[in-house]
Amino acid sequence: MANVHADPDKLRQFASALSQSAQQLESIARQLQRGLDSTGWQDSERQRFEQDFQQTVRTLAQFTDRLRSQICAPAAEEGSGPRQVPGATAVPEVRTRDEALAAIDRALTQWQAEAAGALIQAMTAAERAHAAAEAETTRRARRVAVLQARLRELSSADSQQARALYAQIQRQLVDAEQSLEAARQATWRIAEVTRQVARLQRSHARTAEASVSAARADLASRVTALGAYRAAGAGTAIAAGVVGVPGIAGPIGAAGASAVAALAAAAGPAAPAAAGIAEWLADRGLTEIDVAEAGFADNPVTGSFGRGGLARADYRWAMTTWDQVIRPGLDRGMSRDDFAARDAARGASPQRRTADVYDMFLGTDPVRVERLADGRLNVIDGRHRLAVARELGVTHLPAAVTGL
Amino acid sequence: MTGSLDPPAIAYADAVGTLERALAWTRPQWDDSARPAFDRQRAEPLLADARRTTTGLSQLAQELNTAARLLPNTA
Repeated sequence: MANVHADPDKLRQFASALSQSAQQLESIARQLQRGLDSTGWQDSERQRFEQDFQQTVRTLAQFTDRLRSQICAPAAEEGSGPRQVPGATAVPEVRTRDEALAAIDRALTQWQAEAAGALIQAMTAAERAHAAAEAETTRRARRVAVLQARLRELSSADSQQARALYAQIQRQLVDAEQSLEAARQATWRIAEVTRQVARLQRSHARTAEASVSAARADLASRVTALGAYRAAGAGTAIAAGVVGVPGIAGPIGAAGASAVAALAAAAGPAAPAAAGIAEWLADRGLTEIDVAEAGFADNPVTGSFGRGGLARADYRWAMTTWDQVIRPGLDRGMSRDDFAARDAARGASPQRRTADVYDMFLGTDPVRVERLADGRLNVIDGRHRLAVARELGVTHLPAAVTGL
Repeated sequence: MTGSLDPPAIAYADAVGTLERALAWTRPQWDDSARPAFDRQRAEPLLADARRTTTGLSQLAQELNTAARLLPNTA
């Protein structure tokens, strides 16, 4: 790795901007390629243009890769604070060892899928090219046959006009036979390419699956070892118990699982529920309700999952964080300020702040339900939170209860 | 002629590049004694295979382009 002599913070900022620009350039190149493919342009000019274009793309890719390796990677290695070089979208913020393990696991899975997809695409393209070449060969063979038939017809004629025509068709036949031979050569070479692509595809499928499985198993065992280490050190198995290690990715997703695991581990053992929590909630106009009782079947969660761009995974992370970090923290007397301070210390990203989860359940927009005359709870606000709670087996949530 | 291997070859190379970056950028956060073994036993062989496939696909893309040039405008 080359040494970079520069202010680390400024270098990281520059590397971040550079990496984002490189991604944009790559994205634009892909868009242009798709645009070109969609034009249906299929003559020799297109080939020349495409060759120039592909060469430009390759040069651009080499350039950006070189910049990344020379500047972005060294910048990422400078210092030990939160990393400010997010790079590709597939490489999200990584601040802890747990997140690094989860990020690698995610990257392996993503690579396996994308690589397999690219090879399927390659196989399809090669087969299409081979079919087109065969069709062209057949067309040229027919032309040769037609010209040969014309020559046979003309061979018995002895007029001057017929002889001139015969000579003309003979020249056409020579050209047509050369053209046919070229097409046969092309078809043979394209068939060979198709066989090689199929071989690559088989080889990739065999080795990638084994390699990725082995690598993910290693990562999972590493996570298990870390969980056991923490459990032994903190007197609790909360990290392993909360997230599990099924190929690292737990029910809330790899990043969320690892983040929650890290938080839970850092929070230490949960104390027994404080007797005063019900009063504490009551002071805020809240009551812990049984999630199973809250009905919203007449207004189910459909379509876009959350408001403000939140995805289901964000809700699942928030719910798990509530259940495993915030709620036990409340029992230990932690305040919103404590969670905010933890977020600040960790440099938590906007959608992974425990203080926001605190607000989500205890702030100005809690789950709201209405107690109906028949005793049932009708949900007024919070269907998404309740739906995710059911998915994750969280049985009770704080809510503002109105009605009887 | 329809069917070019350039887009999938680029897509495959992109995927490999993304994996390489993920492995490189997680090293500061996971850099304990287990990391070198993981890199040596798992990541590097996998990447070596992937790079070979990248090269192979790129060469096949060029070969297909060359073969395809024999087809148009010669009939």
